[in-house]
Amino acid sequence: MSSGDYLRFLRALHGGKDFFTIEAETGIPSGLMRQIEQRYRAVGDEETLRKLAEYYGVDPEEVLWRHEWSRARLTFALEDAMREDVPIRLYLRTGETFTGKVQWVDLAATCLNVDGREIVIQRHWVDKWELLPEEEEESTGEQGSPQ
Amino acid sequence: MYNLWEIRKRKGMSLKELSARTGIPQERLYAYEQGKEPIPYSDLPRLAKALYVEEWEIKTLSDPPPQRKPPSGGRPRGQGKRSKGPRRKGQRSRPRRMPPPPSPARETQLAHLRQLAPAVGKTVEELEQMVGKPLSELTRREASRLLFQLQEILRERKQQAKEEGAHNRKRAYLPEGVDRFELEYLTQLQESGELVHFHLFDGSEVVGTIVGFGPYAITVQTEDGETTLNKLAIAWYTRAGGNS
Repeated sequence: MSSGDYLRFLRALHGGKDFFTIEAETGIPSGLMRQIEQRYRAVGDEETLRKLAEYYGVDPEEVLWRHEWSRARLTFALEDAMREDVPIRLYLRTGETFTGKVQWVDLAATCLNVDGREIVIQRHWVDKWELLPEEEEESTGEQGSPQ
Repeated sequence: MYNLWEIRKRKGMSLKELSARTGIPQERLYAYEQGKEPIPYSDLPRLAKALYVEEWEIKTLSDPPPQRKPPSGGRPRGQGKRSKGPRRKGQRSRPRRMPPPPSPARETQLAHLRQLAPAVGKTVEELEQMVGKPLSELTRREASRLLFQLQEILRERKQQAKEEGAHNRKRAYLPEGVDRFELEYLTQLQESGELVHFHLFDGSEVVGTIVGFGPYAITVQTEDGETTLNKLAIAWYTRAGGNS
């Protein structure tokens, strides 16, 4: 879950206020929130992210570390895994972990072959990921903590 | 009749502009304005036309324009410390100001480079080899040039892929929108009528057959009836029977 996805999730949890209202209430430049939430690369500086975290009443660090794990970087990782035919491990915000080879990558989802089972994972719930070397190829669907 | 420099100034024109309009070299115009040379009849029509006046309005021999007073405390033009001897080649009256040192690359540029490197199939080390120094030592201009190069490579690849018919996906408006591969996958599941397990972000599970879907929602027929799942709420899903 990138910082943009996380902020979107927080906005939904806080009643789904529109961008204009939140921008006006936090003093964030107009149009920036849409960019932060919808762009695939990491948008927004630390100050803005801290403001938003404060606004939603969450620890700013929860937003800031996610900034390094943008959707664009996940795309690169998934495409690398697919091109090099190596497994990737995805850590979901739900606490689940999936390891498998990438079947396809879409803007919103990716399909992993986990122990011969196709699992379509929605990218906005992926917190972190790691490419695994070929030796660890055994595909496993695990339940565990992403952190 | 008026002096040439008077008319020119009244028209708000610079010597350079007048030269461009008339085709008369600036040096010659300057000589006319200073009264060092009379304006020949051959140049008068061109000057009159360029200045939107009649030929007779221009004095053929101008009075030199009044000298500007030097600012208090300053030295009058043409006097002062400058040496009067002929200037030697390469010699300057004032030391040339050193250009400012080039600005280092912005952090965002470096981050963007690191992000683009894998997309063009290069490692950061290979990029550094390309430029002959560590990325952190790049100047802003060098980083910008390198970014441009990488983006060009990406653009060419995309174009190539498009021509080959691959990756011609259309971008959904919102990040969670159903895209090409997922659309094919969902269509296949819907047509086959297979049971699908949907796992939601709160840990709950919905099992049913897909009866329809849009860019941002999937409608599922469960035992209890139809339910529409917002794509944002779905963490993952899979066929109930396992592999295809």
